[in-house]
Amino acid sequence: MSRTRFIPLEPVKHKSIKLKNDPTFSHSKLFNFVNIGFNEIAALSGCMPLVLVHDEAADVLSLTCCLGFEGFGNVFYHERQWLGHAVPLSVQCYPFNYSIDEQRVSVLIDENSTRFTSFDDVGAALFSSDGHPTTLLKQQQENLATLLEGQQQAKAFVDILKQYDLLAPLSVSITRASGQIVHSSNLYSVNEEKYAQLEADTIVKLHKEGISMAINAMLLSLRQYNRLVQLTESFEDPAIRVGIKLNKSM
Amino acid sequence: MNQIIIVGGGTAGWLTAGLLAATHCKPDDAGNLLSITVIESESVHPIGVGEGTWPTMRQTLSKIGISEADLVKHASATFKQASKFVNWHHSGLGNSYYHPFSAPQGSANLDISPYWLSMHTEQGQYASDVCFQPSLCDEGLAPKMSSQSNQSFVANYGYHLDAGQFIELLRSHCVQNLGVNRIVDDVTSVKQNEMGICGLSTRGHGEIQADLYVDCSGFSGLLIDKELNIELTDASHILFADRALFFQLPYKDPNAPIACYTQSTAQKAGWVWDIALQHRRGTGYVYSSRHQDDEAARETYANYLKLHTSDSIDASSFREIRFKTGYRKKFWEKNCVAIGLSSGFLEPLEASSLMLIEQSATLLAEQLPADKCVMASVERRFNERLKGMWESAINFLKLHYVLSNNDSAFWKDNRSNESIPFELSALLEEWRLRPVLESDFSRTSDTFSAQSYRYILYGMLDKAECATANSFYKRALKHVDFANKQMSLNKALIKQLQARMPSHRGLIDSFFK
Ligand SMILES: Cc1cc2nc3c(=O)[nH]c(=O)nc-3n(C[C@H](O)[C@H](O)[C@H](O)COP(=O)(O)OP(=O)(O)OC[C@H]3O[C@@H](n4cnc5c(N)ncnc54)[C@H](O)[C@@H]3O)c2cc1C
Repeated sequence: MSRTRFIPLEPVKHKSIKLKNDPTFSHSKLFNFVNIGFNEIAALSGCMPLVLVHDEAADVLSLTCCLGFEGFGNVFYHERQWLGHAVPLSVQCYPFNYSIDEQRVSVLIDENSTRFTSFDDVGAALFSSDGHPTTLLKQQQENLATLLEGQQQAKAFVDILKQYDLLAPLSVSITRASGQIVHSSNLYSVNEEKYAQLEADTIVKLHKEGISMAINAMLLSLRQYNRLVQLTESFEDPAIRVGIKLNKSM
Repeated sequence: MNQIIIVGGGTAGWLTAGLLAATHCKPDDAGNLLSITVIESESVHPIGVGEGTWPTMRQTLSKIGISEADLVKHASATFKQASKFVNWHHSGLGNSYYHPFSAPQGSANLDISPYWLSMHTEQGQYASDVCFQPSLCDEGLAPKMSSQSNQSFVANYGYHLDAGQFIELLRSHCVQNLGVNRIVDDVTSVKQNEMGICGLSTRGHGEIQADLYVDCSGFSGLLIDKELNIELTDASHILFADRALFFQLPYKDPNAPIACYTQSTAQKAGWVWDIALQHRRGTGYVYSSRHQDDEAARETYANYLKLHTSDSIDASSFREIRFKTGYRKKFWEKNCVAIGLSSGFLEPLEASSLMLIEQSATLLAEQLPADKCVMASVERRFNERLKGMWESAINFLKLHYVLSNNDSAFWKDNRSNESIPFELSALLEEWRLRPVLESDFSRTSDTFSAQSYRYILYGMLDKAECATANSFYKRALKHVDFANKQMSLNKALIKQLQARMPSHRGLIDSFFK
């Protein structure tokens, strides 16, 4: 698989490229975690675990969904179809992405993606013959706008969790059929008890902003780890058990 | 009634043949099929203009059995969402306005225009404030997502099409799929008796007879005028234009964006139409020879064209048509019905000619007398209905002129009281004091609705005139919140459509995949 290289989409340069459909989202085959938007929490929480991942190098905490485990890659990937009822927006958006540059949002494409072709009979055009974006590209632009908005809201959400000191380290370990145990590190979820102890006014405020709903959904989504374990069934040396511990003492 | 002959194979002849054949396609109890024959001359060509339609054309074609895809592929058709009037009136808000085909937001429940009239501060242009379609037109966006018809959002639209290709498409469909007979020949003389027409002599096919004759012979009015001597009701004292120059402009770039409205730009003694097809634009200058001599008219027209092309323009290559504005005193006389240019002519300001052809042919197909003995009462009904439609169309076309503030002689004369039909001037007086109401147009022959009148009237009024037009009616405005909500919904819809709709050419592309 060639390396991802996002470059700005240009109407003239990319006038005649076509996009091939890929219902399996094969580019995500090796993904374990994917950043998600605040506006995706409701849709994804019934399908996959939603957790916060701490990137130590950059010291950034991101809202993500977990698609699989180390050694397995993305367990929702299958060569014929995606094995869940929900797909994270950033996975759907590929091979498109956005960049923000002095408040201006531009559309990027992965120029190495095999989803782009210049053959007429496969794939759908990004630009009509007059150089205007087609409905397909406009749909992608709308998705990117939703993604951008959701990711900005996700940042604000994480800040609120930090502000009220609601983070709780999460330890997840899976046991494989061979007995090997794999730990995931640098994961966080929400400390429910601390949340319950917030002042009534604060709770009302967070409730109004949809924060409480999001917290609940995140906590409930941890049950989906069992689904991930089931989805490893077709793998060699599948996972057979998962242990989840939320450390609330901090 | 078993046999119908249609004289003339222009747009009128073939649309009429198609509608008649598609409506009466089964045998009667005696096993007889309705036989329809079109006679068209090889030496007299169809007029070759008439390229803008109403949304009614969609229904007409679907009745006849011609798909939109065929129209786009074989008649160079594009999508028409509005008429845009440029320089008809200079106001603080600009020099142009739209008459879109889609209704104002919320129309199914309430007409929000009186509320718009009383918005003093935030008021923009009427059509854009109440309807999303002007914005689609401005941005060159299509009225629907793709060639597939099963779509959630479709704005109202008609077509622009290539007149010559359209006739060929209609002809081959009528002959191949609807069993219409075609005779290529000249009608050289017509025989008449007390029942009406009793035979047509042709150059190569001898004498031909039928139970009913439809005159679609164009301006020559072979049967209705030359043979039956039915005169025109002259309307040239109301609508002054009597000539048209026309010319086709190719696109410089074959993939140029395509305008999805008919543009009508006011000129010294008339106006220029500009219609965008897939591979070219069709333009023409409609003017009054009483107000501008031919040479000056050619110059005016050439000046317009020069703004739109860098190619040199040769004014002697313009084609010219002379016409008389008016309509037959009777459209149906004995066993002869006139449809198309033979029945009268109105300048193509709102594409009313093709619409009147569709209406006449549909009415004929519906009311087709089973037997000669009931012909007279059908004749009376048909004539009454058509007369009403033509009068209604004339009033509506005149409306465009009377509201202008252009000061050249042509435009001033257009505002003179003698030139304005009484019914229209009475309504205009009332509309200075109150909004346009649905109930102002309650006859079935009212071809243009209150909605269309509002788009023209409020497209041209100034702010102060809007305010007085509503002061009396204010007492009846009980639904301010609803109206405001419609206007903000309109804004939201515009944003959404801008983010989603393909360009007009993008939509055309989708038919060729
Ligand atoms: C300048 C101009 C612009 C227009 N623009 C528009 C517009 O934008 N929208 C719109 O709706 N309408 C428009 N119209 C009107 C439109 O062009 C006509 O309504 C339409 O084309 C119908 O014409 P027709 O079929 O009646 O006549 P024609 O096209 O003239 O056809 C006449 C037919 O009769 C046949 N014929 C004549 N004599 C004989 C004979 N002796 N024997 C056998 N056959 C004979 C001819 O061969 C021909 O087939 C415009 C008209 C003009 C003049």
